Amino acid sequence: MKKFLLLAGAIGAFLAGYGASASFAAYPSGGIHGRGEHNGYFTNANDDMGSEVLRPVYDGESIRPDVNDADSFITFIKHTKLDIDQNGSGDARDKTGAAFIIHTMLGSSTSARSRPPTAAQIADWESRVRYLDSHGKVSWRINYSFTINSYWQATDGGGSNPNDDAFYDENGTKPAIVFRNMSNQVVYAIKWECANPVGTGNLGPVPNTPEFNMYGNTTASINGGSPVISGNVAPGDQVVWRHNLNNNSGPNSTSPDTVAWRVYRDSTILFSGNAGVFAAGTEKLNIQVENFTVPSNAAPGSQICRQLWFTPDTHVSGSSQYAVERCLTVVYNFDLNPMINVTVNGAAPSGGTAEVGDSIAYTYVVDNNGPTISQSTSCTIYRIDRAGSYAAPNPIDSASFPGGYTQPSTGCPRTFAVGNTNLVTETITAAANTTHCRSFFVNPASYGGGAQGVESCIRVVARPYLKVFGGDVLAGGGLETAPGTCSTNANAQVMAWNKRSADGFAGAGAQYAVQALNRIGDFASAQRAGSSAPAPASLSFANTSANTATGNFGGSFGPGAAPCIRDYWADKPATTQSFAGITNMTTGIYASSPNTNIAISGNINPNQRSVLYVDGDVRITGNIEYTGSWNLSSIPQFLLVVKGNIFIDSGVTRLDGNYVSLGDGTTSGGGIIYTCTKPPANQAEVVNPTQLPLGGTMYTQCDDKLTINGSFTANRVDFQRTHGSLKQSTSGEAAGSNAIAEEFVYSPANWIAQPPSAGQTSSYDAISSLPPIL
Amino acid sequence: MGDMDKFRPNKKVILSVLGVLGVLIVAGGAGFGFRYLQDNNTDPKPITSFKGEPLPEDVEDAQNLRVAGDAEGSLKKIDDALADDGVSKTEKYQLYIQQGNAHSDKKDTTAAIASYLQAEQVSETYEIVSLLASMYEETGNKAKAVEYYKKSIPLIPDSPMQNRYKADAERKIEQLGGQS
Repeated sequence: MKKFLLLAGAIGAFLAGYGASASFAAYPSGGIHGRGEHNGYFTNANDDMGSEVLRPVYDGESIRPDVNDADSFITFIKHTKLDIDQNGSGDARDKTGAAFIIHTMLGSSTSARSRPPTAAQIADWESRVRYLDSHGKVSWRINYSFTINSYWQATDGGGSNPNDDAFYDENGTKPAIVFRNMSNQVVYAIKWECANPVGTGNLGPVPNTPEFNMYGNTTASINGGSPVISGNVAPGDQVVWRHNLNNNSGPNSTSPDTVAWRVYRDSTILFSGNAGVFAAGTEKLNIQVENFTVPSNAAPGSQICRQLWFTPDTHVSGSSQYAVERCLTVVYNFDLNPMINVTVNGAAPSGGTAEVGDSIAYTYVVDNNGPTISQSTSCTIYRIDRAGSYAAPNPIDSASFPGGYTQPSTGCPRTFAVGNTNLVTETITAAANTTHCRSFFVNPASYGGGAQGVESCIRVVARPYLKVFGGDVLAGGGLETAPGTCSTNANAQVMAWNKRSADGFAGAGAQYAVQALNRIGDFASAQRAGSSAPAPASLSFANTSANTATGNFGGSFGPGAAPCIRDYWADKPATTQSFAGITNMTTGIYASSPNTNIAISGNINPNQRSVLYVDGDVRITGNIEYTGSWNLSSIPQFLLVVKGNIFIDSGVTRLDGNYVSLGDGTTSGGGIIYTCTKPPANQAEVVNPTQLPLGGTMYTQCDDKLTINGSFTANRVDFQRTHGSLKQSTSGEAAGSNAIAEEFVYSPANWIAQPPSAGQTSSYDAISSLPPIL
Repeated sequence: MGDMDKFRPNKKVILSVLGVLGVLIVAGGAGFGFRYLQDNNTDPKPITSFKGEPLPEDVEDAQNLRVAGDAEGSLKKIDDALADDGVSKTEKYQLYIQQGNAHSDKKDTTAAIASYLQAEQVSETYEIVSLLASMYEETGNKAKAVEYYKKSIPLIPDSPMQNRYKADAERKIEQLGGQS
């Protein structure tokens, strides 16, 4: 009996010593699960050769191919390998391997590494696996790179061959079952080919099952709209951020913990608070509401974000968690309007026109009506140079004409800040008979929009002008119906082009007086009259309401103030010579057949004084000149008196004499002198002339200067010559200037030599000039 | 006092008690020693010899993204990291492996092989050679698979699993119709 008691005591002492050793075994800190490389997980025995943690009995792999979810994995480890049912499905190696996997997934301490694991440990392990799988945190087969491998300290390769598993350093990439925590960081992996747990830096544990599941969410309402978790905003938009917390899925209350929260913008805490205890199934909306206005200077493409943080998240006194960050993206909100600012010679163009040789400057501008900077925008300029008059079509031109245009450098594609941006100025010289257009497109003109364009055109025009030397101009006098009796025309105006004060009132005008019953517009009087009567209105009748800066040089002399136009037809004698062409005339009075249109041209010889009466229209097909040399005693004279109209062919450049177109005495009855008539297309048109159509042809067909050494008297005169332009006029311009379109030179020869009257000629005995000279 | 006087152990009793105590002490010490030897068997390496190094941060991040299902995000991360002139050879090698893994996740085996080959260019290791062997095997390119399984054998590092790796490679070569 004594010996038995001694033996029992010895056994007890042995076990006590064994247990004491285990309980105070102070494993060094560090390592993996408290073990150094090649040291057994359970026994700490060292053996550096081995093989797969689980037997590779599945076509060279150690994990059964049908393991693809928590249930199949748990069944495989717990039943097949750990052989919890003790049906012989797992051998000693498998049982150790399964326990190794379960304990390392749990992070069991060295003192808790029982083989097999306890029922509580297995239940905890199952719970964790199911929890991660239910949250999609398990990838059942995926390539995984690791730096730590493990092995079964097998019976081959020497060493102590304990039935244990150990870790060692090894880099590799193999298909594995990979477990992630709720932050999507890999926390555990098991290689398929060998069931070796592998990892990087550490290995396990996998997170334990939460006591509760706090969940945070943030939404944004944009401009009063429905809550969204993402979207686009523009500067000025109103955003309401709402932050919510819930413990909807429990399964337990957070009690005794209350849930603290913060709202972050990037790393800055904007708001913080405590939402109290959350019972299972509890949701608390709007724990914080923030009204926010997107700043006007918010950069497109930038994001405005809010993120809710809270603690505890899953366990009493547990860790914290960030809810998903919600961001709104600032989008572009721009409105680009392309503009072309055009100047002609540095000033705003008058009527959208320029003259030949003018400098036309197109400044390309983009106006961004905001409120944000634009996206990268392309800028395209097209040159459209069309002959004659041209108007921008609708839609505007989107191709150059003619081709071969290289647009000025705009710096595009580029962005445009809010406001106006001058891109570039293109300067050209105005070409004759051309409309210079430029179309300018920006693309995109708005966020998500298309192109926007604009087209500006400058017509290059001639501003031909009329000048009268040695005489006056009168408008408004009616045809005399009885001596000193006529109906004047209150609408009679003199309208022309004048440079106004810019260049001494150069351009259209008369050397002496100008009188009109209506307005005198841009037609100067007193040109070359001297300082005692400066242009442009000193000799304008009347000049009382002149405003020379606006081109009003006087006029409106008063109703009935104009003298009557003499009834030259009344002077026609009863007997005249038959007209057979100017070259066949001598001194005398001629008349053509009644009601017959005629065409005339030719010269008047020295000392020849002829009068021609025409009861019809007259077409002047060539110059009518006083030829040869003549002096005071042999001054030639030609007077044409026409009942109809006088048409002057475009090629006629000089007319000597006095030309009277009376019409029938009514305003609609002819009596018009046209200074440019289309060349006849056929014989019929010779005596029935066709008027030139307005448009491009007039500029090219009527560009010869017409000089009238004499006078025109008519119901109306249409001065149509396009020769020269106002731009070329100069102050003090004299007769004979090539810039003038139509020039009257009224010399004393016109009145010194009196036309014959009833076959007689007469002459002055004396001439004396008295002021005023008009 | 009288009782005390009655208890007077003789020498035999004292020796017996000391003997029992000695047996118990020896037994306890044996138990302690046995456990100690069990836990610290056969010249264990110092725990500090365990590197257990994590992957470089960019590589780890790329792997986490990829494993979480964000292959595109992983590829972008890898591209950004590779664009850094200061990336080390070791990290470049691992980035190419992650790039190949991401392409493999997307079932783009051609791109995966291309990335793995780039990794091989940086460093020819058992890891990358065996990865290429597996990928060629997966794509049905038996010749290349055999070539790479053969190539992997001499690259197997000294490790507890080296015999298993060699056996596995030889088994694969045989299965694929090659000769080890």
